[in-house]
Amino acid sequence: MDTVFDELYEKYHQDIFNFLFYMVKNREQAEDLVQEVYIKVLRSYKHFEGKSSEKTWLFSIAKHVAIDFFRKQKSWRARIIEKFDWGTRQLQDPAPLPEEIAIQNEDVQLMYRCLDKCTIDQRLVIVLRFIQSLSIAETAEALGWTESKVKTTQHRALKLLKAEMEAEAAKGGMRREKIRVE
Amino acid sequence: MRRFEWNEKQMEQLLQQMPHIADERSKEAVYEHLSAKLQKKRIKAWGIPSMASAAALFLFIVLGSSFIARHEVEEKAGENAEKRAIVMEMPASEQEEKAVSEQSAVIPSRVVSSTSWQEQNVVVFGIPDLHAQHVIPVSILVDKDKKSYSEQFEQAKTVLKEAEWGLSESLLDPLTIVQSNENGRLTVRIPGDHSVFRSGTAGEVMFLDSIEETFRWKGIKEVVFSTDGKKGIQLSHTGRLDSLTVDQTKRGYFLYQLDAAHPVFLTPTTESFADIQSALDKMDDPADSLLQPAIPKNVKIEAVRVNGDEVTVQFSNTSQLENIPEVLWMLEAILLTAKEFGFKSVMFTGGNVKQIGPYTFNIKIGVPLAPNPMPLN
Repeated sequence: MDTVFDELYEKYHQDIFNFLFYMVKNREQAEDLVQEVYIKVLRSYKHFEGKSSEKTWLFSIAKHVAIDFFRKQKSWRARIIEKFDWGTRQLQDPAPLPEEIAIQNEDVQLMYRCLDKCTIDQRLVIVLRFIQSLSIAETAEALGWTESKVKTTQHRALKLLKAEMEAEAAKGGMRREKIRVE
Repeated sequence: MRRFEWNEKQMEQLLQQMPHIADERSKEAVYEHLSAKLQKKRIKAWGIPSMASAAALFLFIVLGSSFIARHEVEEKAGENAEKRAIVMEMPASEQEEKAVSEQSAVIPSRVVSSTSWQEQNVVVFGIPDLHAQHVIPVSILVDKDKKSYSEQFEQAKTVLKEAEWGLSESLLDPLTIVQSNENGRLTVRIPGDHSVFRSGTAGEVMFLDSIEETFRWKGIKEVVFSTDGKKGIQLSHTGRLDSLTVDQTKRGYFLYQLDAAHPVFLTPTTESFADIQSALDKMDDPADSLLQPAIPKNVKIEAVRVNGDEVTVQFSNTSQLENIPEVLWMLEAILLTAKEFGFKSVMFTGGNVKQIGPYTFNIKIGVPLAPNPMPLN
């Protein structure tokens, strides 16, 4: 087995997988994308010069892989919509909650759903900052942004999530109320 | 009862509670899948050209066999015992000699020898192969009257014909050499709209490898970058680089040729070796379908003897050393490998031959200046 692979796997595999999973919210796709990260990393590892930390460097590659994925997916969807003239509503993914999320409390489940409402940039920051617990500086390095861009994006993302959560909770509450009435 | 209101702090806490989602596959499974994928990528790249060559080979066999058949008939018809006897009388050595001179005239040498080209300077360009997997050093000869390296570099750029040669476009075309000083430091300027800033990881790797391959032949130790007059380059995958240290690697050589219609190039291995023996050991097996072995399978190197700055390479007497392109290029690949390891000269012995192309056995041959002179004469 490749020694570089071995080392990277031991140190970062689960973190990178977790990051990609929360970005694409699909286990199989995250599995594919993590392979893609390795392919890129193994090809360019000898040029890694230690100017950024290994961890943020890996996250920066994972970020590009995720963005490429969204780009491809978007163009696919755009093409399909064009061809069949479907309504966009039909294309929304009603994927069931993964088991790990389904066993959590309702607030966590709601948060998981609301992550979809974020833009890709916002989601990158949210996942790196809070789910991966990277510092502002590390996040800035991984995304190739300034720290102030990380802070403002984070602030907007949290504000948006709060609004969405409240709206969804209110809706959910009403729905439950209705059911109870019937 | 559910809450309908959260504050920002609670949002952060909630996010931190999100469960960690683990990849459930084993390390071995991930690795297996990965190596399969790396393999597949490569197959994809060469699958089409190799199918084309298979088709070409098929046509060649069909057309060729009909030609041979006709030739045989003609020969039979004109069979003449007298004629045959005359041919037999010709001394064997003369026949051989004739074959040698005819052959060596058509095999193009793939090195710039240290004695030839005294009239001109050599500029080496590292150019990616068509599949962007290997960087191939190509030597361009420029006028002696161009004094500075930067002037020579500019002149050499104008004669690059990558497509004709079966290579990718050079990534160094838009580069200018700003300053090159004696102590092995060189500064290059990269325009902000260079394609590397829009390319993926592979493109960045090819760009940096091209830089290394180009400047290592000039003895440069460090390449300092500037982008549009500002210090450093910002590559989106590799990160920010102010400079690149040019590794003084010691490599072996393989052969690269896009197809029969394109020239052959001696291509350094990506791997660096501890000594010349281990480099030569690897040169019969590229483990990469884009490359061909530099040492043919039926050639055995019996011994490698090092004596100061010269090295003797002894072929086994069972090796089939003939005056054919593969053998000539093998000798040149060995000469270049010797240069990589800092040797000044090579002596070839054994193999039951005295001469292959311009190379005489049992005398010292100076190592070449550089590989792959282009264009071919």
